[in-house]
Amino acid sequence: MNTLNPELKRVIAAARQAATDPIPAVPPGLATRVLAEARQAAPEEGISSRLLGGIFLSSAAVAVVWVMVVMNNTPVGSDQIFNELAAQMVMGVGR
Amino acid sequence: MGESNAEHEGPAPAFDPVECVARVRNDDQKAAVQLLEFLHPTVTMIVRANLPRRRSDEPDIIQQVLVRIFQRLHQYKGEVPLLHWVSRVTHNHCINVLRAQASRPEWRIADLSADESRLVEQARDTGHTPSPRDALVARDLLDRLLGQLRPEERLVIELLELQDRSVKEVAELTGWSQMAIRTRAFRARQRLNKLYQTLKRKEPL
Repeated sequence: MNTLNPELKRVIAAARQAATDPIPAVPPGLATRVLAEARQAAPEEGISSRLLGGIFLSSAAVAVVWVMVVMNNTPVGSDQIFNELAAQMVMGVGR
Repeated sequence: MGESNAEHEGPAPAFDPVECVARVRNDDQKAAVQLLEFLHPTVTMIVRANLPRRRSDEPDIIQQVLVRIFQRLHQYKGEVPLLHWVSRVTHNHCINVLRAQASRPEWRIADLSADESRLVEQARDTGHTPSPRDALVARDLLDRLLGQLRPEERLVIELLELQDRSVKEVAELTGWSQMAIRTRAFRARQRLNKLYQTLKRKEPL
């Protein structure tokens, strides 16, 4: 598996003897900068999936309300739709 | 006074990274700072191993990696040790940084310093024992060669050849399959051999 040129192997062996530079202490203010930047940065996958989940639940709730309206053939007011929508979302989130 | 307090308090409890991550997830600011201080040396070492030496932007890259880690902390499921997960995030970021660099200059012996040229000559001699000074020169020379490899190839050579890690360890640190590592290592060694032969040519082709 190791097909390295013997000369190159000797260079690598020599390089392995090189002392490593010491690891510096955490620079002052780094923690503040990192944590602030991590908070401000665009939401990543976890938050995005929560957002997508919310959108999915809202769409599902709207669909349910429309089916109910069509099936019952009953005129409903916007308050009623809103209440139904809110109830469906709460049920969805609680799942 | 300080000593007697320390006696009463007993030894400080060992740092538990997983417990610390849980506290960070609950918006514990102190835990976040502790976690950052715990991760900083590991991230620094990995960034140094991946990137050419003496890069002026090293502190910036370390900061970018730490930001990335804290942004993605919710993705850590505890299935692998925290430091392995951190290592994977850091390696991937470094690979992206290297990929973003368009040029990988090809070096020839005429471009090397006098010390580096001497080292290449000495490498032909099987009986030569390198001095501590040779070690630094060899590291610089190798850095030039590794800089011409693809980022994944550079990483695999750094971990297997320079850090003397096993394929299994490299798999844990990078998240790559052992088969992928063996394939990359094979190609990387072939390319490195070719680059070394090219470097030794005194004249351009």
